[in-house]
Amino acid sequence: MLKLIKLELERNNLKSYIIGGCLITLSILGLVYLFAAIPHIDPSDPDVGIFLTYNGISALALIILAACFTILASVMYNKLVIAEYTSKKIYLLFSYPIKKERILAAKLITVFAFTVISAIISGIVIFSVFFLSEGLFQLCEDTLTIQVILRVAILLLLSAVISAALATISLWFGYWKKSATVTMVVGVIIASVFGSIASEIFLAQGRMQLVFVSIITIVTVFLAIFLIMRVSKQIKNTDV
Amino acid sequence: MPSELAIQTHGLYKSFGTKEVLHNCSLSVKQGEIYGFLGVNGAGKTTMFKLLTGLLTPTAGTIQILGEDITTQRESILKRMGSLIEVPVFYEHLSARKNLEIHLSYMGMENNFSKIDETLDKVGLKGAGTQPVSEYSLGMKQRLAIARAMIHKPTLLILDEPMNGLDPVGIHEIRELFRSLVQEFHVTILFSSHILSEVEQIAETIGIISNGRIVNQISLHDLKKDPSFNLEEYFISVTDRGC
Repeated sequence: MLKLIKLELERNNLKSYIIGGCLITLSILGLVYLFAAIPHIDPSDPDVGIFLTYNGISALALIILAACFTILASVMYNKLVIAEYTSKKIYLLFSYPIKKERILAAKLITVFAFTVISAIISGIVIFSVFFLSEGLFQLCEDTLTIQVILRVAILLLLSAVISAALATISLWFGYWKKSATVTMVVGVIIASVFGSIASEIFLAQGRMQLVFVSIITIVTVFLAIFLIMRVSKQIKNTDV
Repeated sequence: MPSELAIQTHGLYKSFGTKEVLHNCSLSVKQGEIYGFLGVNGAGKTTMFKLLTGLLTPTAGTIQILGEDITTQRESILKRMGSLIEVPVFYEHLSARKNLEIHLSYMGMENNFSKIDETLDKVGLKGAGTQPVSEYSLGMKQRLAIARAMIHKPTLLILDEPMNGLDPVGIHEIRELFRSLVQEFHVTILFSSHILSEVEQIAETIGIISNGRIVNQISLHDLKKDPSFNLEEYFISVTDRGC
């Protein structure tokens, strides 16, 4: 399987996705400082409390990060899976003496791993810069403790998994409709819906926050496994 | 299946929905021969090739390739087969050499990387190995597709219109290449072409498909015994009868 993943990386240029990941990181970093600056710009606003704590700011940043990487993963699923299985390239893929499911699995693992790793790196960069700068000029009111950092690290890991898993919904729709446009549009819709639903969950207080986010992660991973199995079955029985 | 047959199909049917594309096709290709598969556009040539390469599954009938059933032994057969179906497809942003390396890796034949330059030379692409495929002309892509089909040393080549886009020099070179593959390595070649003069020069046996039915399979050597034989006239008369 490692060899198949290596071949996927060799024949697909991931440079544009790495640039995409960097742009997401820079944009969210800018937003984090904007969030932290809001209470100082307009302290009279009754809703600014959320921007005064590390928990509030990191939760918002992670929701946006997960949504952005869901879209990025959808674009990758489109390039590595939909575009290859719905074009003449399928003749080439199916001419190799390798089981069709194994080739698909290599593609899915490539996208999943790339999404999770790049989202984690992105999060590490964002929060490292923000937390370090808090030592120089503090914008938040509460204290930055090891517990806060650990909580953010766990939420970052879960958010990265959620974004890769959620994107499989757009993969399934895109393969079903054999359309790049459908894949992208569904990716954006999923990211938007997730953003709306997740805001309440990510902003929950205390242990409930981690419990709720863990539940979302488990549900999306099971959904991803279910959808991947369906796509795999369809591809196995595909006549081209 | 007699061991001297590289390909044998029996009572092969293929339908897409209610449309029957192949009807009771029985094809026999001997090992080590060059077999020309002829038919007008839409007759069912590509569908037949897709069935033989495992891209499609038959509605009914059996397909034996190199002594094995393609529907159950797909991976084992594909290791020993080289193919070109419809248009040549590549990873266009990569060089020809890289495309061949990737192909060999998928075939599990990384030890053949050293043969890449020699193979490119054989198909007339000497010195073009480092060029991205996106900069290739149609003829160059066709040559590269043939190189890819043969680089892993298959015993069977199934090539759908391999002369497409080639200039007369290219056609001549590929013809000589096919002959040398058969003579030196006992490779079996099944190919389709609309260029009847080429088929006449290179094929030992021809099969003609019309409206999804194989209407004739015959040795060209036997046909050429008649001094007035003309493949074009023969093809038209057979396909007319088949209609």
